[in-house]
Amino acid sequence: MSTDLDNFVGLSSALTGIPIERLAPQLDPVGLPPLFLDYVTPRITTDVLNPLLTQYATLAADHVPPDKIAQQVLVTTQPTPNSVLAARSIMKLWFLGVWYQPYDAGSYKKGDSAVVSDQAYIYSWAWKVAQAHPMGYSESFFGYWNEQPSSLEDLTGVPATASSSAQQGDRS
Amino acid sequence: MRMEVSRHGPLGCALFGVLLCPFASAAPSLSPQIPFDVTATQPISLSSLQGNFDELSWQTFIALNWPALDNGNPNTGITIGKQDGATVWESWKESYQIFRAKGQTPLPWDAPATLPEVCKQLKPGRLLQQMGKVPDMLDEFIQPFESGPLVDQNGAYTRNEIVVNQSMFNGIVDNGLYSIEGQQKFFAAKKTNTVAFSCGSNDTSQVGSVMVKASWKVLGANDRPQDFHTVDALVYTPGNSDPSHGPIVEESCASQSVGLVGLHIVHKTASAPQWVWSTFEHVNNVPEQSTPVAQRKGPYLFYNAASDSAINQPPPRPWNPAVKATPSQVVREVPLTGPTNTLNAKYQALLRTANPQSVWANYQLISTQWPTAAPPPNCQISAANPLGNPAPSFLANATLETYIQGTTPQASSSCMACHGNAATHVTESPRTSFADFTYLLERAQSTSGQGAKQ
Repeated sequence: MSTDLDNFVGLSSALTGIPIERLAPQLDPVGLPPLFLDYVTPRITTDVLNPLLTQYATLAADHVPPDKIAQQVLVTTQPTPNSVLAARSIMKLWFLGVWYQPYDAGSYKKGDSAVVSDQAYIYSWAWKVAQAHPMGYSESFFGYWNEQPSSLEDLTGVPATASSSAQQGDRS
Repeated sequence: MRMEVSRHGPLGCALFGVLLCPFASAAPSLSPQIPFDVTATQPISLSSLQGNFDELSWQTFIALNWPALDNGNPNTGITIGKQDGATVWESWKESYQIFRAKGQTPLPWDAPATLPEVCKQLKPGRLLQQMGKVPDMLDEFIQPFESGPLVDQNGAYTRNEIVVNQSMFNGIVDNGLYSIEGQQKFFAAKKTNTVAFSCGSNDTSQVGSVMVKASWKVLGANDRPQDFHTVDALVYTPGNSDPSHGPIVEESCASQSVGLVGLHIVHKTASAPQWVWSTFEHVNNVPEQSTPVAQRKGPYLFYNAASDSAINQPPPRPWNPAVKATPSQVVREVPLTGPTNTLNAKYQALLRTANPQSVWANYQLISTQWPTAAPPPNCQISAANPLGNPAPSFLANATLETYIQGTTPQASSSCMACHGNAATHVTESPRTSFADFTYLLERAQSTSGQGAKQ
């Protein structure tokens, strides 16, 4: 029986393409997943979140590949369902460390945005996808700017595609 | 060479995620053997490994503070704490003995420390040297980022020192890293040369490189010497006649009894190529910030319950150790965890079994910072994750990082995040290089006699 947190991380992994073990390492001194789940729950409301998590759990139990799960979660109709808007905001949260309120929910107003925490900013995935580091914060050692960045796969756990491999090769 | 002492208890298996020890003993022991590496116990979790690394910290603390023979080896004929005396780590090399004026070659490991002339007529003692990376700059009592000295309740500055074990000493000397020119030569010799000190390993039964940073307070009339590990020290203050380098200070040396108040132990191991960062303090140093003011009874060494001074503020400049200063008013911003308090009680009780009055039972582990990411083989560091996700994210010793406590990235003390920025003193781009988590190499001076310039 998976927990809400398990399903939230799994859903997040399907949406971002970042492996589950990277989003929520077994040994995690930072702890963004529970922080994010606690943060988004009142903002997208359980009326939207719970069906999203259930949808993910059901598809995952049926061994649907993560990219197919993402396609089903993000499938749009007109008007765009709140679940899709919420899923997009969850994606942006992981990549940018910023919460973009997708619709009005109680006192939370559509269009509001906030950096969730200093750690959310530092460990947001856009930096690693760009093979870079947050502005004002780098864990790399002195002189790293003179070295080739680590590979996309080393940084994100996601192998570069054939086309992006060629692009990466151009930089080497 | 230092003799090897057989270890009590199992430490023949370790390295979480790679090698696990299924029969690790939960019973602590008093042993003079420095652990080679951490022993991870099943089932693995963040808290279980934190406990394993905290155990490593205490075992290392006991081994390093074991009574030493004249040659620096542990005296296995007695147990720690039977009586206070010279410890194993106090025989190691202080930074001023390695990074000498004009980049001179360090004296051999077994050679005694050289004393300043002004100290030579005094009662022999442990030299607490203040000379830093720049001549005339007094940096051994000023904390990281020049955040200020720590002043005890008697108005005296605490004194710091950094020592390294023989393995690390050899790594510096054998590679010529003790001078600027030596560092240049090291990097010029081979394009792939990098600073990488030896690693402790259970597989090879090697201790590897260890650094110790200690803070001492001068014992005054109101202090109880029997509560401290004490040494007879030669507290040396180099003269400064250049106002641009700080206050004008006359060279002096005083024979004084000092008590240990803080101890960093930094150990590079196969499971922690970012080093294991253990930090201990005297139990009477400071209250925790979360303790209500009315319950801060003390007496504390760096906090006065009757004072209304602002907390955790450095004294106003100029910082002159020759002049009595207003006592620091310090609290611990990040409290010890419950498991760490429990472990402290366990080891303090164990130390009291050897001697109910053991001074070592008056010290406590604050925490241990370690890398949670499984390291690559051969003590390498992943370029994609150079700090290895340290846990806890922040760690400060109230006597050594007094003014940079807290949990703010880039502002609060994190051992690995700070020391990951350490570089060599070679200034020619691009060969200024990562210095394997030690700022000591920046103390190297030039053989031309021009001193160390930034």
